[in-house]
Amino acid sequence: MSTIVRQRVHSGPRGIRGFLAATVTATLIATLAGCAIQGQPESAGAGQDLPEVVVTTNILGDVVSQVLGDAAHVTTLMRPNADPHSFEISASEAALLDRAALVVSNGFGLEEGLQQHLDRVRQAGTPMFVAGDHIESIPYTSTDSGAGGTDSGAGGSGSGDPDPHFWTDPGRMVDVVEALTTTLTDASAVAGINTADRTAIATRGEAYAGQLRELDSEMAERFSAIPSERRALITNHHVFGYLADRYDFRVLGTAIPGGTTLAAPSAADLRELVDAITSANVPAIFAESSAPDRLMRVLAEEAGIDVQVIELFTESLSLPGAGAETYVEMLTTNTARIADGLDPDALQLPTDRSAQ
Amino acid sequence: MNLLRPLAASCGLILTLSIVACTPPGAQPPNADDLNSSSAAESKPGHGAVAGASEESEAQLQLLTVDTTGRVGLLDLLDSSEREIAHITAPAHLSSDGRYGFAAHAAGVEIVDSGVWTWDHGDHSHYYRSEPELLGSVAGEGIATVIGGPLSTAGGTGVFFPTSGDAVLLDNTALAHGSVEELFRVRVSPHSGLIAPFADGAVVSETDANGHPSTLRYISADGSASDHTAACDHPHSALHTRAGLVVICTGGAVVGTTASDGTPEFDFVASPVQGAVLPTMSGRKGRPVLAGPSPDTGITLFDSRARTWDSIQSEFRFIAAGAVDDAESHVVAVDTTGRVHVFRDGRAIAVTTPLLTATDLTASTHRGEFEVASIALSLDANRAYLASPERATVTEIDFADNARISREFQPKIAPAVFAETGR
Repeated sequence: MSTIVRQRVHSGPRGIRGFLAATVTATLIATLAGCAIQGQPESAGAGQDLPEVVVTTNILGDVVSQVLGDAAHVTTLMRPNADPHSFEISASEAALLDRAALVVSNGFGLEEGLQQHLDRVRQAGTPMFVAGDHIESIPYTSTDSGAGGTDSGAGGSGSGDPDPHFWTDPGRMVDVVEALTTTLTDASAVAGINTADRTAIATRGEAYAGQLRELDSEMAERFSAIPSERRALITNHHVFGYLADRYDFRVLGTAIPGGTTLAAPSAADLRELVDAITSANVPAIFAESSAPDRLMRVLAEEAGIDVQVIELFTESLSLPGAGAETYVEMLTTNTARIADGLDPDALQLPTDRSAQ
Repeated sequence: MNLLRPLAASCGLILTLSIVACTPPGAQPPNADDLNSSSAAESKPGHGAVAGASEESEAQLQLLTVDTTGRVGLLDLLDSSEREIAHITAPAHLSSDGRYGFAAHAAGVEIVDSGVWTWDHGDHSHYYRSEPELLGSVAGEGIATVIGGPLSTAGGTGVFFPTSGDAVLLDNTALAHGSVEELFRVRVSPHSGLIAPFADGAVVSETDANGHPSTLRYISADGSASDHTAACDHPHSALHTRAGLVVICTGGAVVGTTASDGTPEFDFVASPVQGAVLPTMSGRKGRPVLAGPSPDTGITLFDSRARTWDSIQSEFRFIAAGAVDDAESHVVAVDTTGRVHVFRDGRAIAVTTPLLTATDLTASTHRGEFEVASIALSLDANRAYLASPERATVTEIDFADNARISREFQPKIAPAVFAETGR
């Protein structure tokens, strides 16, 4: 089974209808409405008097918490390692949305399963902060390989929809942090935050934006050490468009053979991947694979190509200790893995890819 | 056509269709707010958003096999490991939506959750794995026709019992939580028919005054009949594609979609061969193009997105076919001697030696008044799987590589019937 790769992803509520029959959309929504899973444990003893800020994704949850500190109670709907497109909320979380002082979402259709709730609270007048409203977006660039599940038919294109994965570029996250800080320090925008807390938020927001700017220059420095002809991400991840835009990478989406096909591979299974690796001349690819060792071995045996298979954090923070507990750690880990993978000669230390 | 019109549409009652039982509209599955399910998920680090399931980096493909004594086995296509997961009444027929196995026998359908599924996101997919289990059964009369929906965790699954005429819509959300629950059960005149999940409810076949299946009617989620109908002479197979629900009728296909306000819309696309009895058509899960054996020789194709019919000319006569619908338009078909043929962009590119025995080729199942060949051919993006019940083997065919036999499995639980899951 090949994993399909396209850079164009997450079409969002409007775009998704182009991909799925309306019936499918209806059932997607029905899933959300009909069954709720994983009630968020309300953080014990969090001051009942504090305003509630509800954030959809855990990446934004971390960013919002960094800025807010203890000035509000932050609830993140998406847990570590969850998928922003398919997570579901419980009735109690839906109720929490209704009494939130502010609801923070990613936008650009990322939270497709939650959209009906977001629309509902917006209509009810709850203050909303949509991160995507505060960045300069880039469109998807479609690389529909058509080989394994992509839908190349009419309605399957839709290039031009904004790419929601702006977090792969810390520069754009700085824009979000600045706008968020402005919103949180505006007494008329978010109720329940006192003057002293607003001052603290302004300070923290500025400091955090500074930290991200520093990370941005560190990343630029790491990546600039990679020879430009090797600055290519061959991947089945579909989230690195903004990273590529900022640091001058090429993203080469491709079909990456999976476990079943690797058990008895054929030239046909490997052709597209081998072509991509050969033409980009890279020493590493960035793939989700349950059997990366087998993929490396098959590539070496069947195609005479020696590459590393490296996994990156893409759409969610990890559990503590796994390399992406915070947004900053996620970017740091990914940067090290990409830079070490594409420029192994520059490595100073033996490879420990799980370390940041 | 010739359907009996509802006497009182507002009551949702019509002559040929009466409501036997239904659950209240919008009934919540019992586990909707069960926080125990969340703690189960949270107790396993790294698990995704589906309670009790882990999100995997690739499709967790398995072969679900059931032997003649009803033992149910799972063979993992990623590492070739095998396990026995349940024991059920020996089925006459097994169908699957890519996750559940629906094993039909004379008095009902037993449902096995293979524990592996793909969540189709339209432009990419998510893959999940949980523990396989026997979920329970649906009682009925006759060998049921079972038609799954696009997603295993939402919407419904249609189970039609030809002897009693019971049309049951199962709740997929409840199935995903481990219980068998009926969204509704309606009764129509007994016939060889079908119920296919559609929009929030389902379409059900109905007979005319002469007892001939002639019409599809939309039944909403609460079991009430609607005025939305489509003429379909002898509907005999149906499946979901991204372009909508496709029901194959004699002389053409009905494509069902919903308008932006949720109104069902049916479009009949006549086959170029008027009056031809079209075969059962199949394709890769979710893909718009379907293929089936032509009545004489060659292959018939239906593109449910373009709503066009096409054919592949061949000197061979086929008994099963399916469209991969990939970039090279691969079509895989089994001929009357058990050989597997592969077509690329409409041209024959390869053929295997016979993979089925004479006994395999003559085996069939009675469904209503129809006899259906028991050949099960399963397709995914890279491989085709074909079982020989007599030899107790499942052959894995790499269709893109000149129909190379990439692996041959001899499952410990012999595949009297089989399905590929994780798709």
